[in-house]
Amino acid sequence: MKGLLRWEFRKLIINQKLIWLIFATLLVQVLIGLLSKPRLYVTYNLEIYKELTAEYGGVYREEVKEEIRLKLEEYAIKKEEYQGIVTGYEMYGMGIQEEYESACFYLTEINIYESALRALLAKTDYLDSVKEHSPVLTYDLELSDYLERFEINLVSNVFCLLFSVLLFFESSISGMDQLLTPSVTGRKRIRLAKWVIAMVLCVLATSLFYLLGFLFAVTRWNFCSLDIPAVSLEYFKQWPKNLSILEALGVLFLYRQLQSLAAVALVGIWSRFSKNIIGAAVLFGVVTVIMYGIL
Amino acid sequence: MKLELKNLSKFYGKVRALEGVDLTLDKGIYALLGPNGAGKTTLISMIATLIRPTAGKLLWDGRDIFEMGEEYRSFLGYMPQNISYYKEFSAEMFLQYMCEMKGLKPREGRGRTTELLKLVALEDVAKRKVGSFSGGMKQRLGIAQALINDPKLLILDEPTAGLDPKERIRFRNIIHSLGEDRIIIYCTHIVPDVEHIAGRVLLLRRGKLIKNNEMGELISQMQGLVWELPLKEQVSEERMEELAISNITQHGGKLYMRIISEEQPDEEALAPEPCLEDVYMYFFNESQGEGK
Repeated sequence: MKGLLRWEFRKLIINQKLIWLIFATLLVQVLIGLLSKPRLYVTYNLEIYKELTAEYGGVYREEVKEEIRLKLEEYAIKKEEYQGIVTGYEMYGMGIQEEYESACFYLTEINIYESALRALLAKTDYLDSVKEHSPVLTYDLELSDYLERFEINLVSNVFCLLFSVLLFFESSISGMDQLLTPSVTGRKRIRLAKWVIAMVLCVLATSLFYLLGFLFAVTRWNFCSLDIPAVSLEYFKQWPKNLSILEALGVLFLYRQLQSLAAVALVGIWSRFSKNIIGAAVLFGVVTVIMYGIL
Repeated sequence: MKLELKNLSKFYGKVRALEGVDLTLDKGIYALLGPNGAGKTTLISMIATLIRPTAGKLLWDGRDIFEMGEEYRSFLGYMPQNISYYKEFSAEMFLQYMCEMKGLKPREGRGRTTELLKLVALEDVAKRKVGSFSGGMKQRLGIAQALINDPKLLILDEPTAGLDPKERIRFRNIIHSLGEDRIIIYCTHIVPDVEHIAGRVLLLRRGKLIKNNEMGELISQMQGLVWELPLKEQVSEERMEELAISNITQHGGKLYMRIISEEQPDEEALAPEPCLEDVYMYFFNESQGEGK
């Protein structure tokens, strides 16, 4: 069996150019990691939101929330004051232009800060309602967006699809079936070796691409507080409140492993009954999408 | 060492590929002849365990080959028609791979590879990729892989297709040297390839075994059925068709029409020594209603 496994690997590397496939997919993964920008859709100024999140220290106990509420009240008073100046100037021509312009400027500033602060308070209230004293993460939205895109591990799926097709269909594509079937080893043992390789490569590839994605998250978005509750991240909003981010990521990792293994296994089963590669690819895609739909 | 085919049949849906073949093979070289679609490849695919028969049994020394499984395949050598390779493998690597597939240990496999590359005169190109090989080199590599386990039963399906005359002779010589202590089934429709090496001839037509005779016996049955008539310019097309010419040969600077006929077709017609090609033409000449 050892010899068979060695040859199956050699075939993948020499005949199917596995090294190039690994290199190409890794390159794509790295490029995506480096070049992708978060797509964020919020009604408040994100930079101000982060500035405020950092200023108030992440974990929002009652006294901090009180401080935020006071700040909002202060903003409300100031807004009223500036609004008076603006209305007076615009409606009745009262006051001087410099005063009016200055009021307009501050009014805009206050509105920006106020909406960011309200978003922060809303988030804090939400987190507290789910799990008390969960910190608000400065890069919550970027991280969530990152997870939404990268946790899908698209490159890993493409890699798994390609190598499984190359592995399971290689002898029928090359026409070597007619030589291998009547050999002593026989088709059964060769198939078994292919299954072992497929499962091992699948686990390795999924882990590698997942790890790469995680490393990018850590380095780009200061993703370092792994023991805080998972619900602190927008992405894990619906997850059980007792899980930490590390645990949630671990569960996702295991599930993605299972998903890749299931998809690769189906390609293997399909190859047993059909030589249609497109059918195998479609099956792989369907299983992947269904499993993403579940989690 | 005995391979028995008992009432062997194979149907693909309603299409009959092989029907009721009864045959016993002992040591020696067997030429399996028949036109395209006669069922040759179906028959040898079953002997090579690639497909299972719809009915009937295949027995090796009285045991069912499909039940023997690995044991049977351990002494089976098979060279399929239009053999495929891993093109990126070198000849040496390919043979080593096949050694592994045939259950040889790596060290044993390396030794056998060297031996076989020498036998088929490919040792100089052992490190070259198979994808860059000519048709002849690929065929030689094909016979080498079939010989890896020193098979008791060697099946060759159209092994000389696409080879030039020199390579065909070389190939024939290799087969001839192997034929003494094993069963070789040589499936072809290139008749001259087997004329000098096969001991027995099996004729297959429309899925049925119509002849199973010693080569000499079969050829001698053609005595009085083969005629040669000098080719004259004034022979009309109608006459040519009427004569059912199997071949046109040249000797002594003259052209002759070789005719298969139960009666002397012309007073000038001579009776030459029949050959296996005449047997083939007699049984498989489509212009004569698919032969006799």
